[in-house]
Amino acid sequence: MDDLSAAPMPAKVTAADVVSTARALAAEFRLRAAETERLRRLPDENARALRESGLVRVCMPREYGGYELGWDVFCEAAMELARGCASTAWCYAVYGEHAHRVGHYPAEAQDEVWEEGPDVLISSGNSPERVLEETAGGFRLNGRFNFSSGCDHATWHITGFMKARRHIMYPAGDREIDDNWHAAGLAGTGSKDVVVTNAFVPEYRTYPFGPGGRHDQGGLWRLPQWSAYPFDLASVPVGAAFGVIDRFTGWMSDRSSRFGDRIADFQSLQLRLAESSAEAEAARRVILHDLRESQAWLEDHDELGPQLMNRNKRDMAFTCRLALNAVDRLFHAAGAAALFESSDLQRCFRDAHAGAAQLALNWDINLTDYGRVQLGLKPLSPRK
Amino acid sequence: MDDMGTGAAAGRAIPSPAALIERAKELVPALRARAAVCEAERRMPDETFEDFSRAGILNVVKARDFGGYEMGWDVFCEISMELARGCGSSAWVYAVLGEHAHTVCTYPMQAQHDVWDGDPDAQVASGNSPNCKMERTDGGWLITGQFNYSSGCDHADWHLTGMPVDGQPLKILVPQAGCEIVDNWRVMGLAGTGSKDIKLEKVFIPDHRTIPIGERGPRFDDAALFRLPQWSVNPFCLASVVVGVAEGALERFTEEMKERSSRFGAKIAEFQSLQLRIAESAAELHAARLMILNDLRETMEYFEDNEEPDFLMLARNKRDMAYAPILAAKAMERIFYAAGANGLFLDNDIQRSFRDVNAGSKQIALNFDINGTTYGRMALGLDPAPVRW
Repeated sequence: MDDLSAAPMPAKVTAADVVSTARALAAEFRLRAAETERLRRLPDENARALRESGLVRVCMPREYGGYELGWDVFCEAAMELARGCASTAWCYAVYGEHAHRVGHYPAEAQDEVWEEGPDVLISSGNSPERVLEETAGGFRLNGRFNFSSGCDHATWHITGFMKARRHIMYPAGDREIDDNWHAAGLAGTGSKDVVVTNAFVPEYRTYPFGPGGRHDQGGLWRLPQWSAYPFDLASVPVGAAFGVIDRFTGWMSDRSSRFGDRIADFQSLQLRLAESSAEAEAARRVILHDLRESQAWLEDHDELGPQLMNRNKRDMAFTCRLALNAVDRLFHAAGAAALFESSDLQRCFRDAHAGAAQLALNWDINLTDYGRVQLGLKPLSPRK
Repeated sequence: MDDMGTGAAAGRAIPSPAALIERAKELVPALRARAAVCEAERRMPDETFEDFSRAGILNVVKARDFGGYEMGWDVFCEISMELARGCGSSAWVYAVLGEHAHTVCTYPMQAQHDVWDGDPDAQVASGNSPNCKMERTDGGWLITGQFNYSSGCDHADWHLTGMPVDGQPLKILVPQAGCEIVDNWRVMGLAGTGSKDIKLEKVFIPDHRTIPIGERGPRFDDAALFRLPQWSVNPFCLASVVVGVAEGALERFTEEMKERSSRFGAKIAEFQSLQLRIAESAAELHAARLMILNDLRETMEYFEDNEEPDFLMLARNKRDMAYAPILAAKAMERIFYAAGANGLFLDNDIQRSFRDVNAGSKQIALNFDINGTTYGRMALGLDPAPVRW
């Protein structure tokens, strides 16, 4: 019997249901955040809770039991989860994103993934080049894939090949996990290497770069991979910032200084809390606004276009920066007592910085391209 | 042949400040090689302590008649910065032990003899002691309680702390014998400092091993070094560690980036954004280093000719000992960010530097809200509220 307090979601799931479910789960995950880090992967209860809550279905095709509620709702859920445990929220972002992306693969592949039900956890992994060779009826796959967040509980993996310009998927049985995720932050994501040796990938488990199979099914399905999806990852540092604010506020409310003064009475502390809260809230609003605007635009257009794409990329880096500012300002004021491993604050601090290190959220790359586009130059990154 | 002493307190040749700084620089590769072990064991390795002893650098601000060199606090801080380029935790322990050799020299002479007559190389750690109880007894006190954050305690023979006793703030000194180390230093940064708790149960402190805080020590008239106000000068050595860690990280980061290529094959060193990150971080660290050294040289010079402090100068010092770590933390974060997800792996030095910088900045003596407020109030002509000068 499991220990979740989250109520099961109703038959017709709304955005509000998703967010309140995420909030309830976050309270549970928060209690296991230290254990999650120690395990260097999600505890089995967390993975089970993500499956059983239905949260992974937020942007998944309705045809297979998904909700297709929008990337903004999905990101709001990720933010809520990150308030409790950033590592779990990160895995959720990965699982939720991939449950959407599998919707673009050929129908036969989708049938296979969701054969036994909709709540399937799908991981990925960065792919080095030259490991995909064409062969009769499909491809031959070899190689090592890095940063495979959530791989321990995944039953499928997806990845893309720049050179072959093709998305592929393969079942967990085709890979072995190399337990090498010893990291300074987001340690609980279990973002280990996975190694595939000579696996056969049938043609139907692949599709070429470019518009996916559900491109014609509405704005959600036309969201571009690099200029919309990574908002789910940016939501994790932002959610972690809210987690820091929650914990810091609770802690400082009744703390006294060495001289016996109530610390809450210090104006410096009040200002730190106010500025960090404003930054975190601004970051949240930017993410939700950009996604709603992008989806609305894509209802009527085939592509986001360079302006919105590069604005989004700018903002997925900028919101992380706001989150880090918010986190650092409070963590610094929390004093040496917050350094102990038993303190949630230091974990939130490390997790927020680790999340912001994701390549898709990179300030230098994304902001450079925004500046270039504004100045009438071509962006440097080919990734849309 | 180098001018190192023989190890005996008396007759030990005093090296030049430049020679000592050079020795600290020479230790950097060894400290760096041991940094992961230092962190994993949550204490500074014994070899490192031996290296420090052999180099003579623990004596920089100790009194000459006990084998010290009585050099300026700027020299001491420069050594701390250099060591920190190799290992933040080891440099922190160095700074603490080096500082306390000086603090002991502000206690009554009999206390100094107690510490060094038997062992001229005896080391002294310290700790916060907000919850200790002092009980009056014949000829002294009995102390019971627990010191927190006792950096370097594993290498210490004595412990000192300051605490209010009957409303009077008192500095005390206790031998390690009779103290118990509580192994509770499990932290996210500077884990190798071994800043554990020290438990004391009715340990006797004779009156000569106490001195009221603020009272002039027996060497006050001897040299500027012994007129320095503790809280407005000493913690620069800890700020120096924070700055030095970031300096070391920047050097290594810059070296690595010379060779690195992006996923798309471009040479990363060609990116203007990276060039600017390196430039801004280097400028911040340069400023932080100069701020520390200039403030200290100016302060040392001032106390050559003056007994009474210039409180605005002290407030400026407090501001700067908090601000230099802020500069260091910014410099550090800017390059750690650019190291990307590869920088997260625990076998990558940069993530340890990042954690160490953020941990070191948290020392309460380096707190900007507290110190900056003191400076701001003084600058505005207000009473500076309760301050430990």
